[in-house]
Amino acid sequence: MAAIEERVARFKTDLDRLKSEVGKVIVGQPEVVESVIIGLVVGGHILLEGVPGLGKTSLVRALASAVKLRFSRIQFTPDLMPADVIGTTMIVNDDRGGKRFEFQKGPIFANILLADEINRATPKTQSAMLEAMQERSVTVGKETHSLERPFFVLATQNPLEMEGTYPLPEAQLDRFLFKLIVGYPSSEALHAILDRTTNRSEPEISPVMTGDDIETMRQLALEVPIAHHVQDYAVRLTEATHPTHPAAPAVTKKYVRFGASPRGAQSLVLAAKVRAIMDGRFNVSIADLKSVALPALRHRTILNFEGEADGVTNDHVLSQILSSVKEGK
Amino acid sequence: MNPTPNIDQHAQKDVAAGDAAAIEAAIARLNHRVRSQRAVTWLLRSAVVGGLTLAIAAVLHATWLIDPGLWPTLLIAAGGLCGLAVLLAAAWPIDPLDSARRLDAASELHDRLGTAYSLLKDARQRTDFELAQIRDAVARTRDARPERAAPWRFPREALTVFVVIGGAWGLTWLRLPAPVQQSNALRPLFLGEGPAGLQNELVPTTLPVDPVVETQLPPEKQEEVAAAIEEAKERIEALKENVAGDSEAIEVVSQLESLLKDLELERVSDQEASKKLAELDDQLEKMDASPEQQLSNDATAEALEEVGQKLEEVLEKTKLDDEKMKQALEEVAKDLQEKKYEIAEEKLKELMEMFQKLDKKDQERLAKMFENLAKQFQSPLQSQLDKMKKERDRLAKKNEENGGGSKKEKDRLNKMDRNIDQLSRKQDQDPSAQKKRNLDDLSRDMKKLADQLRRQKDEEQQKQAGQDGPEPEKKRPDQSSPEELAKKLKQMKKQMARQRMQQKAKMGAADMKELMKKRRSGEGEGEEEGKRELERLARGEKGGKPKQPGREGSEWQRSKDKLEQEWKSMSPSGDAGASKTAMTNGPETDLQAKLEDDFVAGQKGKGESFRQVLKGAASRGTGVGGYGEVHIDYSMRASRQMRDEEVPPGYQEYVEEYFRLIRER
Repeated sequence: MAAIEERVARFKTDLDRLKSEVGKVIVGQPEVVESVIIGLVVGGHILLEGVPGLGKTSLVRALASAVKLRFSRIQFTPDLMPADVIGTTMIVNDDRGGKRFEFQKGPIFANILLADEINRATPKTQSAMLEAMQERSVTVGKETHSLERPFFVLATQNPLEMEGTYPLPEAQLDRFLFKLIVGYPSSEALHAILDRTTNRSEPEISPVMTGDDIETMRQLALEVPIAHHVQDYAVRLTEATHPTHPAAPAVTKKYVRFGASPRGAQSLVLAAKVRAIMDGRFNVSIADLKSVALPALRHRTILNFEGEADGVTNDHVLSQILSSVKEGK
Repeated sequence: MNPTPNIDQHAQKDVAAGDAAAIEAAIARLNHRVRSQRAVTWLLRSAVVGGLTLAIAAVLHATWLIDPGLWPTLLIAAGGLCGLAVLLAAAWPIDPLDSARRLDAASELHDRLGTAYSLLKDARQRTDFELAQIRDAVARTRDARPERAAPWRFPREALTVFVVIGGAWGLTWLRLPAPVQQSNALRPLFLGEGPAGLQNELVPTTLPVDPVVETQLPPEKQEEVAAAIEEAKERIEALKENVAGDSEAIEVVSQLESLLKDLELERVSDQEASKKLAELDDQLEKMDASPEQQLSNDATAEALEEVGQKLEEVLEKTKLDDEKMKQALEEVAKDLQEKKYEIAEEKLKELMEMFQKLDKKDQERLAKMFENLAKQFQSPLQSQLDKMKKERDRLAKKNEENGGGSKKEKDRLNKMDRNIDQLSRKQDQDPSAQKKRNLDDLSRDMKKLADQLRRQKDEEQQKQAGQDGPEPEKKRPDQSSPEELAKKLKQMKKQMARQRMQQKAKMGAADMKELMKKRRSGEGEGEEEGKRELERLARGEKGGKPKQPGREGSEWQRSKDKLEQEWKSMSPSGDAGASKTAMTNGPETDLQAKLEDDFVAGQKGKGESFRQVLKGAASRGTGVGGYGEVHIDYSMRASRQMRDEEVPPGYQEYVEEYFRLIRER
């Protein structure tokens, strides 16, 4: 019986250590770090959006270093081909002097993949990521290659310089667990960043957990119970993003074209479970759902023309929805 | 109150003992708190509703729309409502899961209790993680804060309760004057004329209430109505004297008195009063059924009847040589007994003529007869009263001669006055007071008549015996026997005539009632007449006429004129008590508009000035005339003036347009 409490406690301790290690490099973005870790534990992919220089790549690198996982990075450009991501079959000389075809794995074959500026790649290349992200396997020719677990994609995109970019299609966006907005650090955080990065000493990140540990943590997180009334809140929150739903608030009906899919509700609950354990609890609370609602739903709520024209953001609409959905029936 | 177990005990095999109880106990604490708060809130809300009900009832009570006897029922209903509200609040179920969630939210338990409660209610096999969650929730129950989940706060309804109940209490002190209906119902009590008798006063009281007057009476008349009620009380007192001896009438008057008292003390509603008056109406209608019988109850009629009997008895013992006189007196006595007042009146006229022809012996006998008759009617109480009055007059005269008298004598005089008053009141309180008063009056008259007859006889004897003697004393005017006797008989005749008038009035009462009913149904000008009636009452006028219809030349007026003519015909003078019915406000205003053109010679300038004289108010619009004739004149004059003064053409156009617009069509 006590094993559960111990496992939860160890879970919390490990994640605290992981946050601490990542925090050596990334300063002033605790929510982003926590959300990235949640995504790592749940096995969901993260889309990071922010202007250049905010530490998105550093975050991913630090995380990969702290978890002791294989890390790879792909800089997406318009001329990047799918084979550049997935890999390609090449003619190689064998030991007997003959030649044969051999699949050369691309950078996608890693545990943590940094897809930098993913929106600069063509849709063809972006779609090559779809199967890998969802099925965690890559098919080349007649062969399907499974990706190693855990497989965790961290994609970044720059909201500026939209010329010559290819916005991610909704289907691909839905495959991300969270979309995180990386904002500017505060003054104190900026001081800390400068202090750490402008001298000779560089922070050293030591690995605190392995891929197996993360897999164990994922299994434990799936066991966290969620009461019916709490789950009902997640359902109502999801439904409230549907403009055609009777319970949808006015803001949804006015500005939302498409709401969150069931995958969005799954993301909500899974992320809330991990967050509950990170908080040392054995149950999911409504507060957990609320805290993960924005990153889990903002890229799944598609605004209509009126919303775009009025300059309304997804976060604004979701905030209104969160305030309109009652905790109790 | 112990909470009802919500968690299936069979589903708790894997849960440590006491864990479920701990969860439920935490929830129950909050439930107690919520129930008590809800009871207070519902109590206050029901108090608001009850208070509003009482306030409405108070307003209705103040405006005489509900019976005061409903107050206990209303108070019990309001109290019952409050009690029911408290019971419902205490018994109304509370969802334990809601309570658990409130505790979680208020105590920052992050849905621990709610989740644990849900898991405990679930009958399926729980996982280790779920059991761990329950244990965690039980451990955190000590952090549950019911006082945060359901904090006590000052109920907002309390202020409303204070205002509403205070208002209702204040309204109970408000008591508007009684509605006009009561005064209307009693108004006929004022319409009777003092000595006219019972029926003349009571008949109008049975008339139905006039709803037109009732509903349209202005509020400022309320005080007048209250004064009218006071006056009604006085009239009932007077009525009680007049109905002496008639037990049925006394009963009716006493019921009227009781009803008036109830109305004054607001112990009966308008409806009850109207109902009671209707009952009295029925009784009086029964009494009206036989006017002859009714008249026999009258004190005066009884007195006259008794006079007739006594006169007959005395005539038997008196030897009158003049057989014709004796026969006439016997016939008068007989007619008086048989209530043939008109015939008796004629016989008395004959008696007056015959008296001149009586011989001295018969005159003496007649005087003795009247003296004996007077003695028979003299009541001991009246004798004593007369004696005391004589003594008092003597003492007063003595004091005047002595320059006011001593203090002792003044006190004695005052004491005698008081005794006379007491004796008079005692006499008035006698049930047959009216009858006795009539008999006393008759007794005095007859005694005087006997004295005069004797005096006349003595004077004639002196005249014959002493032709050479001193010149006889000059006869005083009141000692002229034939005239005096005629006067006395005339009084008797008047009294009978009054009886006859009363009888006529009673017979016309039914017609008047019918007329009043018609007026109530809208034939008369109810409102204005009601106001005039009240104003008359307020002025203290006690004209004996019942409610009149508001229209001249109506049936009532004809009936009234007929009665007046009859009264005049019965009255010897022919004009006593005759009312003047001529209009005093001048002729009716002529609403036909008339115009009369006229020309006034001008003192300066050329020719005459035109003027029009309005001869009357137009019934509609304004009386106009000659407009078409003067319009063209003025229009041309304006055009000429504009040309002379070089008015710009653009402005001229406006003026000409104006005259075109006001042109006669």
